[in-house]
Amino acid sequence: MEQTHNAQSNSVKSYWIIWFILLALSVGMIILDQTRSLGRGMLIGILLVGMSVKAWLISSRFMHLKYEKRNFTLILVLSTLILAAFLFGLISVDALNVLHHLSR
Amino acid sequence: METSQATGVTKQSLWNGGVAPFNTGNAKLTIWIFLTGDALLFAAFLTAYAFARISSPAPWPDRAVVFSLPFIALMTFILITSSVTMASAVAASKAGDRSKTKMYLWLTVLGGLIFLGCQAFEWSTLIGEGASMKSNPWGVPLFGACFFGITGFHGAHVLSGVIINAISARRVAKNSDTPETVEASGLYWHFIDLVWVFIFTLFYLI
Repeated sequence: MEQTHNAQSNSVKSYWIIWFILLALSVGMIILDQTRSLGRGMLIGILLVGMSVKAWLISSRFMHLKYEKRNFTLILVLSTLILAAFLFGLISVDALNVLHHLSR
Repeated sequence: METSQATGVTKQSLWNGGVAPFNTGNAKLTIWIFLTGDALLFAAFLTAYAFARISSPAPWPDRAVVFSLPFIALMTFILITSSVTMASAVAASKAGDRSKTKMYLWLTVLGGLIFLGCQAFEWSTLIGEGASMKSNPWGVPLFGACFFGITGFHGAHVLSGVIINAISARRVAKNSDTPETVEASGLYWHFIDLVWVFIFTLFYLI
């Protein structure tokens, strides 16, 4: 009983550490966005990296994907990412085409 | 049963049934299949928003003008904190601590309700300023449709998550819930937080 209680309090402690990191990243991203000290391209790049780190922390630590079978994790993550990337990639090409025609 | 002639090791065939795929239970496997589909739903919404924004010859409304970023930061804080309470509920459930599971589940419900209140306040402020699905005072007409569509769907997910967690808390109180189903509710709640990470960055910051 004491072992499960210790395991539980260790889990909760680690969740609060992840909470702090997520909060720090969010505040950092907002400050970076508000100060507008970086070029637009650099700002977008840094925000996307921050977003990806937060997404990884939530999915691996809160959703416990880190502790699942590797193949299970790969199927879920890769299928979603590849499909989303295809969707965004192809639609963006079309969007740029539309912008080009509308701007003439 | 298959026996390897080279090593003499017997292993259960994965295709004969009776073996949990990837060593996960039914509840977890099913919720993950659902979440993958739901993730692609939001990917489609965000892609449509990307299309509207990239193809628009007129500049997209400046987020600093439209939104109060400190308020959005508060909403993010509430959702991340509710994710911690949800994860703690799952840990307590696995440890067999019913009273802590209930407490953390109700705290998660509270966090969800506060988030929904904040979202409702944000919506009423923007609607009061003239934003709708068809037009808005800041420029590109599709801005309103994108904002209300994406945050509306996310808010609907938060509402259903609140209801699911409340039902889960009541079932834990009656000792009729299992750690697997609490974990499934937890995965849904963390997914909602995950989607907010993307909406927060792609809609409110970029």
